[in-house]
Amino acid sequence: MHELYRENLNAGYHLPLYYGEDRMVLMMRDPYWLFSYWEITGGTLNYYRQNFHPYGWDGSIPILRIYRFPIGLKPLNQPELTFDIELSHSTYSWHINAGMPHRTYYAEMGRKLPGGEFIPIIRSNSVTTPRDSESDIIDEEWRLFNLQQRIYRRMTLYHLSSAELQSKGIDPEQFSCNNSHLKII
Amino acid sequence: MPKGYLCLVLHAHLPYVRHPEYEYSLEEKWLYEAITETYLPLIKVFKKLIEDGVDYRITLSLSPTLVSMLSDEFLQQRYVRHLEKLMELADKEVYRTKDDPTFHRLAKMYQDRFSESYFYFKEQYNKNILQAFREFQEAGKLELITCAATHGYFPLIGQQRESLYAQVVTAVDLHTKTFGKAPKGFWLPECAYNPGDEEILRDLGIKYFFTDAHGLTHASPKPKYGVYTPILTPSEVSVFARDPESTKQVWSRTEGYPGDYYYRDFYRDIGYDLDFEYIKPYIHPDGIRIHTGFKYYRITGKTDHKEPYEPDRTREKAAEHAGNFMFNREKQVEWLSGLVDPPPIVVAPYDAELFGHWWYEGPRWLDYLMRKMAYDQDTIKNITPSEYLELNPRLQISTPSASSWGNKGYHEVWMNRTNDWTYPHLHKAAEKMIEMADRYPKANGVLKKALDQSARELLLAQSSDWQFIMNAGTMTSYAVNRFKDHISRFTKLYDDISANRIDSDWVDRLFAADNIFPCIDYRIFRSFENTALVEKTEMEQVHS
Repeated sequence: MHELYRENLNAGYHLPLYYGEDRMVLMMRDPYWLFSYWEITGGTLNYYRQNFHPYGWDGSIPILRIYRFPIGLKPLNQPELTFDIELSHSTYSWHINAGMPHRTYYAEMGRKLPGGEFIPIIRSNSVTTPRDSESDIIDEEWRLFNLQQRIYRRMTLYHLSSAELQSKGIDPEQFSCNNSHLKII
Repeated sequence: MPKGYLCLVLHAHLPYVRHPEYEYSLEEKWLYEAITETYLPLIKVFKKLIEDGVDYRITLSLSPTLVSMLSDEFLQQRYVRHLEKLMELADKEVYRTKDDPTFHRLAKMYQDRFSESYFYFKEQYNKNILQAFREFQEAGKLELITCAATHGYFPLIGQQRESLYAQVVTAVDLHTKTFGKAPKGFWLPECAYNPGDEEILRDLGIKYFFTDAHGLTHASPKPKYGVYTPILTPSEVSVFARDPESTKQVWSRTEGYPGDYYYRDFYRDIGYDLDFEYIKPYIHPDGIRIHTGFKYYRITGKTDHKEPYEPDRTREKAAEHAGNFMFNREKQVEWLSGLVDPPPIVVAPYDAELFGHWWYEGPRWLDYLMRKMAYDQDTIKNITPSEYLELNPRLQISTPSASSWGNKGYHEVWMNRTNDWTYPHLHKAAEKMIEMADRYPKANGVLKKALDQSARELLLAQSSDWQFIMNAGTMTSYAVNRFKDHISRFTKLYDDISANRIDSDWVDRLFAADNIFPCIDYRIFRSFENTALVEKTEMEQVHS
């Protein structure tokens, strides 16, 4: 066998099944979706089982709890929204329909006891979803006059080429705009 | 004085594929096909334009994995062998088609092309075509920029900022050594950007990068001129954004130029069409039919019936399309110049492999476009980002929005149910690498060799190509295996290093197989808090 065959090079090693550490990572996929993966070690689970056994731990349900914050607030401030996703015991990652662009999120993985109480076990990092629209913040020095707003209108018509637009008599400058919602900084 | 500028950007990249352990590797063919169909044809175009005195500008991103493969002697030698086989098949094809003028002419076309490529590759550039790009850069026609070391997808591996630093510093280092000049620009793999990533680019001397259109149209504060002038991030790196209109004219599957019915059909290939016994020596040794590069038909239409390819007719088509592209840019710039105070810039980036490999006539189209722009009009001029920044240094300060140029504009192509399982391993391996780099600030000998190899295995695992292929659904097992191999090898290295039981011979074998970045220093992965001062002192020593 060639000495550089993959079996030789991998020397009996495979992709690790787990890493033996408690961790939870939250990632941003797009303005509306997040992805999270986690690992909770047997030791940690045992600790919780012992502590919450009298409250029905063995009948508890794995819950992914998402906390949403407006941009700019520290994640530990009051969230504007919290929602739960019920998962099966053998789930270690999840694509989360967070639903709101331009927000900061973090997640917790835990259990819901039969009495309804949520026991968080592990918390993720926080991530921010990007806006899905133009910014409403305008730099005074670079204020867009009506004229420049047309550049943005034109970009939304990119399926038409400049020559086509002109030949069809569509004047990109006709597009009106409403900038009353803009914040000037 | 032109009314505006066109910045044409080509991003050339292939994942690092090199298999000395096999006589034949299907995946190594990705490189050979790209050399034959894209890189050499582009070199011929760039060279001829200079010889003819045409003043042109193109910005070319060459990914470090591609640069490493193109300068690898083993792959260079294998490419020569590959090309010799193609030439042998061309001779057979010329003979086979001798009684059929239509196909005979096409067979001769390939025969000429391949022998010309052979001359360029072997004689003219002595098997290293990178020097051609360096010459074009020195002639002031190409601006060469770099990309992440192994095309790591920044927003998804940026969990550890040290990974981004390692990707950028390795790229800048290789680029500077190869092309004699530090890169001013950086192509973010897949244009994938997350606010803050530019700080690492700035720290390594990068002046500008690119995002997709919505990276700028959703930037904050709102950029006054949309995508038609660059912006400056608060960390003082400039950002250029892709123009949606010129993108669509070339990229669109349905309406883009490459889909014209007279252009060469990519899928019909003699590897599938001809008698098995005849074609057997030129396909996969296991008898699996594959593309040979001999394609005799044109797209013809949405039909399985294909008409023979007509090279003369496609030359006219390419000229027509180049003219159409230029005309639209003129109209676009005329309109924009009334609204944009500084001269507007239209940024048109494409994958380099579109030109020649997927769109056979692409290099010719580019040739015509550069000539027409130089001689047929004065409204719009070709420019590189660096030249534009010198011309228009006063930019609006704004932060781009997270984005990518992938399907749907964000990260889903690289993070969905087909490939999301890779991230727990990537993040953990990076964490371990950083930990080792901190643990051994000054390793030597076998330990350093093992640590350097760990850095290589991690970087190779970080290639976004593996997730991309898993998502695309073809050749998936290759990508899955490559990912698993690099993580497995990294894990063993980590375990062996930690247990002080490094198998020096095995590390040598690993390096023989995964030999990218031979001069890498594992300390590029040191954690940020442990590096700043040490690195500064070392840098000062180097410079003094």
